[in-house]
Order: sequence, then structure tokens, then C-alpha cells
Amino acid sequence: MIERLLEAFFRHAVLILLPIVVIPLDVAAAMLSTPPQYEAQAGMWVEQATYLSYSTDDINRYLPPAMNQKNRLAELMQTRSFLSEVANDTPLAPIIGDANGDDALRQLFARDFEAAATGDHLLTLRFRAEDRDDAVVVLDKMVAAFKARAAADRYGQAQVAITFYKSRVTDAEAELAAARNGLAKYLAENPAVAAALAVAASDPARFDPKYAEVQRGVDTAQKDADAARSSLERAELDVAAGVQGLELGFRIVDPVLASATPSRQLRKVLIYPIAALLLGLILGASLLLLFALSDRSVRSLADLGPDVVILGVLPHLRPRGVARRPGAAVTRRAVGFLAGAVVPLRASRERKAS
Amino acid sequence: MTGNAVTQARIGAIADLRPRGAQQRRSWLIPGADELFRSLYTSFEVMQGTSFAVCSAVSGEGKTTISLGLALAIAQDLPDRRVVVVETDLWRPVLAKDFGIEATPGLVDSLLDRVPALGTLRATSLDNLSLVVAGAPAAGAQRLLRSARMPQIIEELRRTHDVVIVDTPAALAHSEVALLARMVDDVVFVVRTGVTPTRDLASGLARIQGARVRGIVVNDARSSVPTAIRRIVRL
Repeated sequence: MIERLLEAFFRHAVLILLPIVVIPLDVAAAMLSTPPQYEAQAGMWVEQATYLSYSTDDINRYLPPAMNQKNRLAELMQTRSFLSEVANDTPLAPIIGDANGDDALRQLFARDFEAAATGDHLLTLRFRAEDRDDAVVVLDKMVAAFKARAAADRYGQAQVAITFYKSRVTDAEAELAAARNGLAKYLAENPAVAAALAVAASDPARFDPKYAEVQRGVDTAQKDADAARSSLERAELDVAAGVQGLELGFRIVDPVLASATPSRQLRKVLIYPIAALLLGLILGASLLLLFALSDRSVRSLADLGPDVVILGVLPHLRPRGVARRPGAAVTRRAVGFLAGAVVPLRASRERKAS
Repeated sequence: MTGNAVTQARIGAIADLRPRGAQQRRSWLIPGADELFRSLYTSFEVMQGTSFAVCSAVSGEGKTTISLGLALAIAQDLPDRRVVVVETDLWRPVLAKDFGIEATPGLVDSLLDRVPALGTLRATSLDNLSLVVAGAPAAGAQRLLRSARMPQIIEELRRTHDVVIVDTPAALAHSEVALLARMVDDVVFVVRTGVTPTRDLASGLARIQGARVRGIVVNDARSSVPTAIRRIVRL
């Protein structure tokens, strides 16, 4: 099989090597012909995915904070409102007004924007543009919009939590008031119990089960109210810490900055030609296999089989002094020349013959 | 009377088409070809009074080239032997054109009993080498080759020549080759690398079953793989 593959390769070398050479060269040329771009970059430190201990529904606990925020940003990038918000007041604003503006904007960000989570906490954002200032302005807007969205989301979640705990406190206090009223009414209706209460070291609950039940109801309502108040206080504290913590835990460690000199993207200049080379290699290998497998002709003595008597092997015969390019007929005539076959001879040979 | 004189005498009225004075100047145009064909005929021991057919499975494998080469090598090495090449490929005749001679009289004329077998002989630059070209195209070539006249012609040529080389058509294209192969003593089967499909080789050999196949001549054996690489991978 190796012999067949080698034969096929050297026989069709040009065809096999063509995709391996041409495709990467074309891609490299296309990459080099694209104008160089400025790349703006910003680094965001994400300490925690969220500071609200009770609001963890929108995060994946198994991913690091930076990755959670990257996923969140990727989701936002799919929304028209977020993209429009970013593009607004930037050099990209004219695109929004266009009929196919949304698609154009999405394609532009898909091509030129990149978010990468480096490690657990660092989220790096990059944006490329042909103009340095444009790259900075757009990325700046992107960071601000993302941060504002994150803060708004957190604030909204916090408000929902406070409203919930407030309603719980209100309910618990109402229940406590009702329990206290019931106790007072019971004592008014049972003066003996009230008198016993006045005596120190006496416990009416020991001889009045009904009083004991009412008293327990008051105690329970009191505990519920205390717990609700405590939860509300904790929620308010959490919200305050969360909103302030967002400032601390979701902070810009590297402000938006663009490269001083334009550069071609490494991905475009290196990776694309490498990918093209791989594609060319796959195509070339496929062609080689195709040629090798489709060639059913005798190529070597091994193809003749073991039981065959080989009388002789004639190599490729190359006539000398023949004017025309040797083909089957010219070779045959060259062999028969000795007997008188007509062969188109070169002038020098004819002179020699005459 | 020498053998050559007998042959020439029997040619009779047939014009001698040899290029005048050329036989002394002509030499092999392919360097080393004489030795190649010499080793080839040596390998199957060409006996006196022998006849053999040069067959192949498909056309374009070099039957005529090898027939001519063998005939030339034998005629040149053994001047006392009379050699004749008979072109039986009536469908794709090439010898008349190659030698720049008239297509008639040829084998067809002899098969149609227009001309005696010896009347179709054409002289060449070598005194002891003759040709029988296919002749003008004729209707029902298959029928002609299958006729009882064909073995008679071979027999006549065997009587007057020491070596009769029958250049046949492609075995898979023309079933008459099986008959021709049985009319001669031996068969040399030609295989051309890169042309003969392996499956057709087996079919071609099967087609001439019953004939005495001496062996296979591998023609145009060349590899596209450079020698250095062949050495490295030990091909």
C-alpha cells in the first residue's frame, strides 16, 4: 500500500500539493490584505458572581465568577437593546439607523469583540477597530453598559427581597398583636388568673391549661415577629453590602486602553492560515487516497501475482535524436528504425545519417 | 542457395521497400534497447523453427513495439535465421504507416486468397527480417482471422522462416486472439505498468487458456517515486 501511495503521490504531485500550497497562501494573502486594526482592552475583576446570598438562581455554582459574568455578557450581546445601548453615542451609532442595523451590529461585535475569562476572577474584554479612538470609545461604552446592567439587576433583585421580608414582618406583627389581644381578653374574663399572676412565684399555667395555650400563642407570634424583623434587617444589610460590594467586586482593574500601534490580529494572521493549511492537508490526503485507491493498474511486479513467470522487464524506452516528443507511436517507430521504420529525426541526426 | 536467397526468390514480384543504402547506416535509436530485447528473447530460448505470439489484455500495451524489438534483436544477432513479424491486428494496423509503405498486399489479401502468403512479405533494412502488414481494412475481420486460411498462412511462414512472430490484437477486445495463440508454439504476454488493470491481466490470461504462455513481459516499467525515496522505504 505504501508503494501505491508513493506512486500516486509522485504521479499526481502537482494536483495533490496544489490545495496544500494554494489554500494557505490565499488565506494568508487575504489576511495580510485586510487593514491593520487597533485593539482596545479592559480588565474587570469579578470577586463574586453575586453578593446577594439569597439570589443565586442566575449563576452557575460550578463555574468561576469571571466565567459566570462572561456568560452573562454573552447573553446580553444577543439582545438588541444591549447592543443598541452600547452603540448609541459611539461611532457605531449610524449603523443602528440602518435597515439591517441589528444584524450588522451583531456581526460587527461577533467579529471584533471578544470576552475572555482569565483564571477565576479576571474578565478581559477586547474590541478591535480600524480607528484607535473608536476602539476605546466603543469598549468604554460596553464596560459601562455591562456594569450598569449588572448593578440594575442586583438592585432589582434586592428590592424584591426587601419587599418580601417587609410583608413578612407586617404579617408577623399583626399576628403578635392579635395574640396579645387574646391574652388580655382572657385575663379580663378570668380575674383569678390575673390575681394569681400578681403573686410572685406563682404560675397560673400550672393550674389553667387554657391560659397556658393562649400564652404560648403570644410567645410564638413574638418569636415569628422577631425572626421576620431579623430577616428584614439582614436583607437590608445584604442589599446595602451587595450594591456596595458590586463596586468592589466588579471593578475595572485595567481601564480601557488601546494599543499605540495598529496590528493585525494574531488569530487572522496565524491561526487562519494554519487552519487553511490543515484543510489543504486534508484535501491533499483525500486526493492521494482517491488516486491510490482508484488506480487498479499493474504498478509493480508484486501486482502480477506469485505464480506468474516474468520473462523480462523493459524500462521506459527513451529514443534519442527524435524530433518529436516520444509517444507510444514514436517509441515504436524508434524501435523499428533499424528495420526501416520512418522516424522524425532531429536535423543533426539526419545530417549524420546522410 | 542460402535461406535469404530463397526468401528473396519467393518474394518474387513484391517490391523491395528497403531504403537503399540505409541498412549500413541505421542503428538502434534507443540506447541499450538491443541488449534489453536480446535478454528478453534469451529468456524464453527462441528455437529454430519456432513461432510465438505477442499478446496483451488491452490495447496500447506495447505488443507491436516488443514484437519488432524481439524480431530485430533476433535478426541482428542471428543473421542465419530468417525472422518474420506478422501483424494480425486488422482493427488497428500500424506497421505499414510506421514503415512508410503501402498497406497492400497484406495479411487480409492473403486471407482472402488474393495473394499467396509469401507474396505479402515485405523486406526491411535487415536482410533476414521480413514483415507481413495487416493490409487494407476489410469487412468481417473477425471472420477472416477465424478462417481455415489463417493457420495455413502461419504454417507457410513457418516453413520459410526460422522465427515467426505474430503480433496479435488485444485479447479482451478480440476473441480471435485465443485462436491465434493456439496456432503458434508459444505466447508472450505483455503487461504495461500503469496501463494494464490487474483484473484485466487475469481475464486476458484466462482468455488464451489452452495456449502455451511462456510468461509475461513487463513493459514500460517505470516508477514515479524518486530512487532516493525508493531506497529509503526499501521498495
